[in-house]
Amino acid sequence: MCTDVRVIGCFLVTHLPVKAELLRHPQLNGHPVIVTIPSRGRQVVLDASSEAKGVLEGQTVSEALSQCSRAVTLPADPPYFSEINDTLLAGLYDSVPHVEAAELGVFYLDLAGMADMYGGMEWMADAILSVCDGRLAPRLGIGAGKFPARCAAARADASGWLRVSDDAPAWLASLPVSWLPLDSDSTTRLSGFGFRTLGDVAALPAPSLSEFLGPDAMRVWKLANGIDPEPIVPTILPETLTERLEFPFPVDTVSGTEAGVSALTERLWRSAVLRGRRVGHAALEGDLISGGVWRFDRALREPATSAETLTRTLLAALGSRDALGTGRWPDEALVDLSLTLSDFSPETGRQSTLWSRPPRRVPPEIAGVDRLVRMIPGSPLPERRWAFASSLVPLSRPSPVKVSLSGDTPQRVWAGPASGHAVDRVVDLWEVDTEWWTSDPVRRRYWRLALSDGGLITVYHDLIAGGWFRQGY
Amino acid sequence: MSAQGDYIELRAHSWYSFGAGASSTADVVTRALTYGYPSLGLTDASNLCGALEFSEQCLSAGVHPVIGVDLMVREVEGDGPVTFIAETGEGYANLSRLISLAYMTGGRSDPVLDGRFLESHAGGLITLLGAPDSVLAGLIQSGEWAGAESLVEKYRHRLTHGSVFLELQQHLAYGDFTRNKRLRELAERCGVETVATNEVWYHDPYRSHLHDALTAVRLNASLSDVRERLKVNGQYCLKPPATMTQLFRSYPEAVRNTLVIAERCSDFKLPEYLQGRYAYPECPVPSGYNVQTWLERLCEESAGRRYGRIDQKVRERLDEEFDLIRRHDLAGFFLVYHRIVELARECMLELGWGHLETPLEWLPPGRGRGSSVSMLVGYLIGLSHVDPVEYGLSLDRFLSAEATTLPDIDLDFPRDIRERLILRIIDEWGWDHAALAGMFATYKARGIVRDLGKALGLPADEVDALAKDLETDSVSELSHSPTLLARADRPGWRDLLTLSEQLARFPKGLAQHPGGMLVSSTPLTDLMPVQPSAIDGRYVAHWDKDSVDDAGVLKIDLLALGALSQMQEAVRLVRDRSGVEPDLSRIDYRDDGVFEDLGRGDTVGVFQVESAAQMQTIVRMRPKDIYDLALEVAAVRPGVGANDGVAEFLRRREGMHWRYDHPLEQNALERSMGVIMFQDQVVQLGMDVGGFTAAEADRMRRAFGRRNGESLVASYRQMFLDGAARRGIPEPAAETIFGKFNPHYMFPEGHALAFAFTAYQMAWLRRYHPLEFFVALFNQQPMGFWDLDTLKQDARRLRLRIAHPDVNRSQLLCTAEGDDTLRLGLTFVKGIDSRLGSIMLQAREDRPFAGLSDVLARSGLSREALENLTRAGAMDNLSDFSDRSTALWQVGAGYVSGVRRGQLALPMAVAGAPETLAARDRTDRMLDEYAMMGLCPDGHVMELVRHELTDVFTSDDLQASSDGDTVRVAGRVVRRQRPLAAAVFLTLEDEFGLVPLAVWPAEWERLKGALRHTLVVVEGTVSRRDDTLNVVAKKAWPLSVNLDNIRSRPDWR
Repeated sequence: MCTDVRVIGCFLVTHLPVKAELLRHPQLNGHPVIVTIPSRGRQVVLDASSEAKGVLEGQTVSEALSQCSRAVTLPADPPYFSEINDTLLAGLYDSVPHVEAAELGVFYLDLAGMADMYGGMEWMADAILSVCDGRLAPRLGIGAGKFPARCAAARADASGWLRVSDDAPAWLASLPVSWLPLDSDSTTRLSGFGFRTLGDVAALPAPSLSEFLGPDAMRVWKLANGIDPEPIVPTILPETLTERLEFPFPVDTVSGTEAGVSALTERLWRSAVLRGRRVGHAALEGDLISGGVWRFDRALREPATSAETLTRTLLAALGSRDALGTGRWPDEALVDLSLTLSDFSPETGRQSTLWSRPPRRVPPEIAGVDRLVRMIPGSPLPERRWAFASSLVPLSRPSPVKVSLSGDTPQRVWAGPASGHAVDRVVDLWEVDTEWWTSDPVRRRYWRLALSDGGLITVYHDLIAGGWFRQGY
Repeated sequence: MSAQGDYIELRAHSWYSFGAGASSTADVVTRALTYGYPSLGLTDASNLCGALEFSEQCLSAGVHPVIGVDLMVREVEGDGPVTFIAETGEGYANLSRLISLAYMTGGRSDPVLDGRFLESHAGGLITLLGAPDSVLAGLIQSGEWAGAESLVEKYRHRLTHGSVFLELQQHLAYGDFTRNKRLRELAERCGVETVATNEVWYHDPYRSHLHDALTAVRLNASLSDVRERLKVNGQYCLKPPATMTQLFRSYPEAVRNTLVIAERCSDFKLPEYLQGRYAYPECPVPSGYNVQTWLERLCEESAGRRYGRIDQKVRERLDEEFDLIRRHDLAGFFLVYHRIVELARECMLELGWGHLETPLEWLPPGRGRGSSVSMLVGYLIGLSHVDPVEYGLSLDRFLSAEATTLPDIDLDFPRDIRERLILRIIDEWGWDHAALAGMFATYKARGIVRDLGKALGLPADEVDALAKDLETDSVSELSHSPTLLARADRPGWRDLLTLSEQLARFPKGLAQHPGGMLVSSTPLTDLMPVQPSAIDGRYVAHWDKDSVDDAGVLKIDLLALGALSQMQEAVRLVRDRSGVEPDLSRIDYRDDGVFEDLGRGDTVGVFQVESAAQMQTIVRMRPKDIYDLALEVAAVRPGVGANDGVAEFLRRREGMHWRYDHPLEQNALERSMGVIMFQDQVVQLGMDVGGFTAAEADRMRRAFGRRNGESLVASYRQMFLDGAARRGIPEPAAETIFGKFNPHYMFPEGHALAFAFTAYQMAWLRRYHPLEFFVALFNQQPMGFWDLDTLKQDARRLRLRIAHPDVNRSQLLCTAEGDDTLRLGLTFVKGIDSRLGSIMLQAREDRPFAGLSDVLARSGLSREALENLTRAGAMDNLSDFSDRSTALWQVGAGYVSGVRRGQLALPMAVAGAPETLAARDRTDRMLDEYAMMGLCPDGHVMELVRHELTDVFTSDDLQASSDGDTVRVAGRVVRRQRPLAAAVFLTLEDEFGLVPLAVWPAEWERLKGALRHTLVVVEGTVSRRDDTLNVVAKKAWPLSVNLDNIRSRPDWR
């Protein structure tokens, strides 16, 4: 069916960064909160909660704090904000067939015929506004084009909707000229001439404006008159999802590979794209230590609905043997591992509420199986050089050790449950004094000791807190 | 040799190892003395900046100084640091040359010496190889034994036998133990010796954090970002010999060799080496003359031209000076200066000034300042413009019979002449014989906070806010800064406070002296390293003025004086407009009108007497002749003000009874009523009261101004008191007189006179050629005092008209039109630089712009530039101009429609503006003009807000107020000053004039927030004292109007 009537919706979540942070830090509700981003070597305000009175976007942190000294500042977490945005997109696709994701927190919806389907405009709006957690307080604007819809959304109450009247130019006339999609220079120049509202711009002869603003002028003039013919360009949800990890050392055990698979499924299931969706196909791939590639893929007879079920299915499949009786585990040690999921389908019986699940955590037993990351490779402190990424477990962590002394020199060392070993000789001695500018200064005196059993051990004395520790160096 | 141990530290570093060394040379020497070191080595990184200072400190402490350097050397095996030590004078000269070569070949910021230069410059040098970051250590660590052996062999071949040592260090750092073991094995294999060092970067362990912080500052990063580049612990301090001996107990030969090296270097003492080594360049003289007779001949001829007939007074003075010059063998010295002035004259002629036929002394290209002005010879050979005979200037401060150092002659030049002259001098004598003296900019409070804040990883905006809060250069202000105290318990901030105190007065790096040129017939590189300057074509020496002075090297100060450029331009304008060039050397120097202007404080733009403080004193001083003016110029100097000298002098001048603290003061202080106004008077008091010779008294005076000169001053004080006692002066009186001396700067008498002449000439131009005076003043901005809007206000008070820039009439700079109009130049408009301005001038060369569309079509400027010109009023006179709003619309429209891209060959009407377009009102226009030019040519910002102000006095109203009245005033803050006196002085400007404000310290703390705004209202009490008027501020409010666009430049002075 073809219709001439364009009904465009704009789904708007204002202040998404702050609202997103409040979702994961609910204890901050009611407090002034500022989200900051780095800009030219300084932290500036990206967003602020309504309690942060006087704080403006773009202010430096010190300016903001001078306005609101009680404010809690949080650094922006763009991947997290994108995740929230993806979740909103996925949720909107449950209600509307065509959704265009614009900037963060802004979505355009093709609502032609949708009101009839929902039994009325009000029911439709309620359905759309309920696709996300109420704490995000979305707004819905409805108009004959994207621009009027966007303006309506911006003027709607929180968690409410607003429709542009039939006389769009009149409805838009009082809005400030800064709402037009113009660069700040053009906006300033227009304001400088006294053209401060959309009505002022709409009243200008189009050719005059065209001479002044150039090629963009006609579009701007149309927008000011409520005319926006731009179509909705639906944003496609991803067809496949892939995650990859590097082992800190080549893995040649079943348990190690299993841990890798588990870690990958857990990480993939954190993606918003999989919320309310089932997975029909999974493919594993890994680089072998000899240089070859190991692959294993499986079409799932029963689409997986959770990380646990997918992990179970995959491990069961890997544990089976093929028709020739050959095992499916890799023959050699794996250097890395990736998992690609595809063939997504809607999860049946799913309620369209988000945020209802408890946050997922990586089980501690697989926390170490992840990519090895450089921390401070040149640090004089071994435990600050390398770590596993997912949980930042440092390598070469010191462990307490019992040491008996003669003067200030170790005489005997108890490194385990055994009765300890006498120190044969001091092989080396060195000191580290660093991090003094932080809240965690470090001063240690290290001893490399040859023990009576022929072994070598490195221990240090913590010169600040006291105590002896053993450490690989 | 050793009294306390068997170890000598050969590798200490001082704060001249910029961005690493964390102790002054004095700190290191003092600590070495405490530990009983008989000898101490200084090996700063890539320079010898502290070598002479260190040597002198060591020698006065009874410690033998060993001089060396850590230099980055490029070998085929890689780049790495190598330590070189001067064993002999030849070694020192080689050291200096090698460092110079490293800068010439490696670059100004990354000096690297090509190791092959060592083949020809290694005589007298000892080298230490194998420090932890060195190429050799790297080879050893990676097991490349053959490469390590070959590198040591290479150095053995380059240096004399027994001059290569492998360096062992034990800082309790991981790897030291193994490296030392292998270095000893390598030394045995190669047949060389080892030597122990501690590579000292600070004198005390507590400075290790400062060393880390400086490293981060040098790398322009935070400590967390450069952890890998920091030393692992705080063991890099100067340690007692016994501790070092214990640390190296497994390597006794390495410890012993520290003594061997120190012994080998014991015959070389830098101050002795420098004695008599410097010689200034020889100037050729005609046959039949020697330098003395030729100088005398030049002076006699010039005196004939100057005086017509040489009378007895001049004759006697000339003979006295010739005799002194002969006695000190200074004829060549004066001829060098004469040659420099000749070179300057060549530059002047190239720039289109003066005439070849005019004798040099009639139109000297520059003019002398400082005590040299008292020399008649200088006056006659073009070094000065003040006749010392006429003003009875004494020679003692400049050149006494007992003088042992070269006298000091400073010359001022207009900026453009000076720029050329520096390059011309380097061309004349070559970079290894002519270079600028070095200078060490020292850390001040704000810089310390910013640098340390960044190093400590503190939030940049909070650090910036703290820095901006500081009002003085002193870090002591930090200890009571509320901003810092509120954070003092947090990590990082606490360290900022501690480290700031340590970093105060540290040199930041080597810069070029503002004008001190060193010229030498001995290659300068035999005396000190020379490196390229940041400015192309210039070279800078590694020693500052103190070291240069101590080394007896001639420093010629060539200074740029904006006032001379201004005067030069004003004179040219007068010549171009009237056809007569005023000869400022022959104007009437007793013109009552000029002195009346000065006495009224009508001195905006007049050299030396235009500051708010000077305006306040000059109305009390009311100078009547040039000497009075010299007193005025000299009065407002920190050294005079330090002991309330200015106020005391004014009170005495106004009739207050006073008497000398001792009759022997009279000779020195009679001319300034018992108050020390000039440097010469300190010297004279030293002679008359302290019994010093003239040379001793001058050294005492200099001691006050030296860095770290406290102990020297203390010894002079005792000598002064002893001398006074011998002359029968009671100790309290002698103490009182010595107490009048202070370290703050004051002028020599001749210098004050020289400046007084320049000030008078400027005042004369201002009175008789005000238009040319202001055109030149505008064009020579920035001149350091008033901004353009204040200058404009003053010009308007003199009934001059300031005209908007005009696309058809303006040149790049301001021009004079008719009798009373100053036309603003195109480059005074924001965004129009000389390149864009020239494009516009070229476009109108054939014919003027017919209208706006013609400007759009032919100017070739961007839309932004044309809009700026429109907002500045530069289109106002075009034929098709109606109002600025319409013109702005048309510029925007014309630009968009492609007119300026040349699509329309003929001028045509540009698009009409919409009918709804509102015309710009006066407020819009004025704010536009402030935003575009920093001034409003025909109005003042206060006019915009005056109607909102009730009960507020204008600057005119204020004249009728009485002492003690409570008044409110309002205006633009155009000046803030905080002299040594505690009060803060501000100057407000309204549409009628200036309002001087005084704010006492307690009030300042309360009011400074408000007084930092551009426009303020102030309530206070009128203080009228001796013809001066001040409002003593009690309350202040920012004036709340939207004036964001006003460009303001309040400076701290």
